[in-house]
Amino acid sequence: MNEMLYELWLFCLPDISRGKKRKLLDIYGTAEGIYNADINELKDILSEGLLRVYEKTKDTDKIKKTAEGINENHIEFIYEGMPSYPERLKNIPDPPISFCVKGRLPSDDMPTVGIIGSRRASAYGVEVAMYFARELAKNGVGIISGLAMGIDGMSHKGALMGGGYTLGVIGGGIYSVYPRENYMLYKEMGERGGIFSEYPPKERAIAFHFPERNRIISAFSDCLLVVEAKEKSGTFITVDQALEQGKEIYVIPGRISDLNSRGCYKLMEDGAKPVNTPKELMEYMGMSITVPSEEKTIPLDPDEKKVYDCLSLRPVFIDEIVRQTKLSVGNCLSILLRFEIQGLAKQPVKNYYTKFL
Amino acid sequence: MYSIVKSGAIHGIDGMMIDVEADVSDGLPLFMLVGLLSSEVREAAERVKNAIRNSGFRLNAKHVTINLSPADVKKSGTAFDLAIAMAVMCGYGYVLPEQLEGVLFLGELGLDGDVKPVKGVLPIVDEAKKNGIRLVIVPLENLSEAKLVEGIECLGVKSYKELMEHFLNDGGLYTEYENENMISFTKEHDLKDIKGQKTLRRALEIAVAGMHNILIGGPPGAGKSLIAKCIPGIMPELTYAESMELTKIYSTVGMSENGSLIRRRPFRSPHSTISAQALVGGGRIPKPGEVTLAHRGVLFLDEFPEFTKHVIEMLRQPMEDRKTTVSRVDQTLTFPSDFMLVAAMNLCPCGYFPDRNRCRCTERDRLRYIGKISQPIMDRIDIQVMVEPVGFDDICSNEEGEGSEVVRERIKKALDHQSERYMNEGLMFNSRLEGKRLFEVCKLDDEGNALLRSAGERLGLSARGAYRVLRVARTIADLAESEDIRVSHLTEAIGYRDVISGIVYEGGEL
Repeated sequence: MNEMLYELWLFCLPDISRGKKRKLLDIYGTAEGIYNADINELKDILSEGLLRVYEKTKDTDKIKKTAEGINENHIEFIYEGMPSYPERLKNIPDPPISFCVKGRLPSDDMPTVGIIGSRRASAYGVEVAMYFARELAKNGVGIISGLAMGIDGMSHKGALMGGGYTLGVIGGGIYSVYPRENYMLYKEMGERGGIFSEYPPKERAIAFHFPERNRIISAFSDCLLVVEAKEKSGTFITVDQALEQGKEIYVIPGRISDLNSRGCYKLMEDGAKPVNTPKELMEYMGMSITVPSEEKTIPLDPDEKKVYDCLSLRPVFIDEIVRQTKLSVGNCLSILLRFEIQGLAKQPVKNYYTKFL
Repeated sequence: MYSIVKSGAIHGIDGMMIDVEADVSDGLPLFMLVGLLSSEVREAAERVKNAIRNSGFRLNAKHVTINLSPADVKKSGTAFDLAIAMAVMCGYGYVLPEQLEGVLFLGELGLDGDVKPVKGVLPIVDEAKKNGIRLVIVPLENLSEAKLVEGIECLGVKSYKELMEHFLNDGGLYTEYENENMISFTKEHDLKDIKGQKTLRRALEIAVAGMHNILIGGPPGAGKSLIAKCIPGIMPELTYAESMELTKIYSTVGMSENGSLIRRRPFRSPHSTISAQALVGGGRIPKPGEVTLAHRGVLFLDEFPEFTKHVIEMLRQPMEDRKTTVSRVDQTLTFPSDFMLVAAMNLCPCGYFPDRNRCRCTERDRLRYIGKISQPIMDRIDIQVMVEPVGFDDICSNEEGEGSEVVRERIKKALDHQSERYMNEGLMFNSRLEGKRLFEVCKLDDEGNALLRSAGERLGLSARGAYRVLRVARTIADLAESEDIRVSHLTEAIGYRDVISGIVYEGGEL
C-alpha cells in the first residue's frame, strides 16, 4: 500500500464525517497514520459502530480494486499535499481532504464564474443562463455550476455550446448520476469539461450533500452570478458561502411578478450588482470581450417582422401572436417554424414561443 | 305434432336466423327447451306457459320439447319468447303450420301476455329479408326500427292475445307506431359559439378534413371538451349506407334512438375508468365496445393519461386496422371501428403546466404522467396542439367565430379531393396513407425536402414524425385546393407536431 492508496481508503471510508476525518488527521498526521492507529486510542474518537466500519474497510484487495476502477474510468484522485491540488480550494474554510475529478479541473489562472439558480427555472431564466454561459465560455471564462436541473444544467449546456470550459460539482459519488435526466450532459462534461466529487465514488446523492458541495462551487468561482432564485432556496447557501470566501455576487434581474425573481431582488437590496450583458459582467471582472456574440442579421419581410415583434423572453402562446399580427394561424406557424430553424425563436413548450438570444 | 317457426338472434353486430322447433306429443307431462341455451332463454319456458294461459288458452298436459337450431350456437336474450310461444301453439294445433310459413317472430313475453321490446331488431330484420321471409312480427316499440328495412312487411304487436287474434281471425296487429317521446333533446354544438382558440379551430379543421387523429393539450378550463363536441357538426353528413350500418350497431346494444335512422355522427366520450372490454368490445358473448359505437364518428378521450395504460394500448389495433377482433371460447367476432380519435390531456398531474405560478410539478412528474401514453400510440396521432384558457379580450369581443356550416363546406371540398384521388384504392382519407403511396401522393419539391431535412436537424423531427407531417401537409394542401404540397403547407404541418417534444425540451419551463 502506498500513500495514494491510504488516502483513497480514507476517502472511501463511509459514514465517518469529514469533520471526524479531519480530527483524525490532526492527531495522526497522515492517512497511513490513521490506518495503522491503535484501536484502543481510536475508541475515544470513534463510536463503536464507526469502529466496526473502520475495521471492515481495512481490506487491501478492495482498496486496490477501487483504485483500478478509478483508473479505468479515467478519473483522477487528488488529495491534499499533491501538487495538482488546486490553489482555489486551499483558501476556503473546510477544504476537501481529497476528491475525484472526471475530465479536468480549471487551471488556477483561468477566470471563472459560478452560475447558479433555481432548479425549476422559467423559460426566461433558462434562456438567460444559457446565453451568459455561452458568451462567457466563448471568451475563455470557465463556468462553474452544480449539474442539477434548471439553471445549473443550462449553464453547463450553454458553456459547452460556446466551446468553453465548464466544471460541475456534484452532490454524490463520481459514478452517480443525479438527476438522471442529465445523463447525456454528464457524459459530455466528463469528456469536454470536468466533474468534481468529494464523496466516495459509489455514494448516492443525498440531500445534505448539496449544501456542502455549494462551498466548492463558490470556491472554484471568481465571482457568482445568480440567475433566478426564490426567496428561500439553496442558492442562498452558495451565496452565503461565497460571501464568506470573499467573492463578488452578481444578479440577473427578473420580472417583479415572478416568485423566481424575489431572491434576486433581495440580493440586489443587499448590495449585489445587477448585470445586463455578459460584456458588463466581464468588465466587472476586469476582462474585455474578445469574441463578440454573433449578430443575427437575417432580413425579414413585413409579415415576419410583425411576428418577430411579438416575441420576447417571456413565452407567448400562438393564439396571442395570431391576435396581435392578424395573420392566419397557418401563416404564423410557418413563420415561427422558419424562425426556429434559423435560430431566431425557440419553442420551450409546445406552441409557446420565445426569442432566441 | 311437430312445428317450426322462424326467429332471429344477433351474432356480433349482424343478424342470424334461428329456427324454433316444437314437438308436442303424448307422454309424461314435460316442457323442455334444448339447443345450447343461456339461462334467460331457458327461463322462457315459464314466461311462455304463463303468457299463453293468461291470454285465455289452455294447454293440456303433454310432452313438449322445444329446440332452437342451429343447436351448436350459443343463444342468449329474450327475443325468442314469441317464436317459442307460436311454435307451441302450432304444435297444439291452435294455428296451422301454413299460417306461420315465412313469418319471423321477435319479442319478449311477460307473464300476462304483454309483448316487450328487444335489442337488435334492425340487423335481424335485414337478415330476414335476405332469407326470403315475407312477414316480420315484432314488439310494437320496435316497429319503426324494423320498418327501416325496405321491401319486407312488418307488423307490431302489443300483447300475445292480439297476436293469436291475428292468426285466428285476421287483423288485430299494428302497422304504424306513434311514439309521443320522439322529440330528441340532444343539443348540437356549433363552432360559432366558441370564442378565440384560433389555433385549435384551425387544427380541428385540418384534422377532420383528413380524418387525422388529434391530441389537444392544455390546462383545465381551456375549453378542450367543449370544442371537441363540435367535431361531429363539422364532419360530412352520413351516407345512407353508413347510417344503416350505424343504426344496426346501435340496435344490437339497444341504443337505437326511438327506432329512427341515425343521421348524426356519433360522439362517444367514455370516462377514464372504462375497462378494456368496454372500450374495444368484449364479454363472454362479445358485444361491441366504445370504439365500435364511435364508428364513423368521434371517440373523445378526455384526460387521456388518466386511462390505464392497458386500456390505452388496446386502442392500437382499432386505430391501425379500423376494426377490432374479439376472440372468446365460443366465437371470434369482428366489429368495425373506423373512428377519429380526439384525445385531450393536461401536461402534468396537477394540470396547470405551463403556468409556473400555479404548477408545482417537476419535470420528472410530467414525464411520468405523459409516459403513460406510449410512442406507438403517439405515432398514430397526426395532429397535436396546445390550448390556453380564453382571454378576456376574446370573451368580451363581439367577433363571432365561423359557424360549423362554413367550416363543414370547406372540409367537404377537401374530402372530395381525397375521394377523387383515392378512387378504387380502398382508402378514403389522407390519414390512411402509408408506405410507398404516401411518398407518391406527398411529393415534395427540392425546397420542401430541404426544409424537412433542416427541421430534422434543428428541431429533432424524427423520420416517423416526418411521415405524420407529410400526411397533414397533404390535407392542408387539399384544404387550400392545391395540387402540390407547397412549403407553406409543410411548415404549417410541422407546427402541429408532438406536444411531448416541448415538455422535455431542454428543461425549459414557463
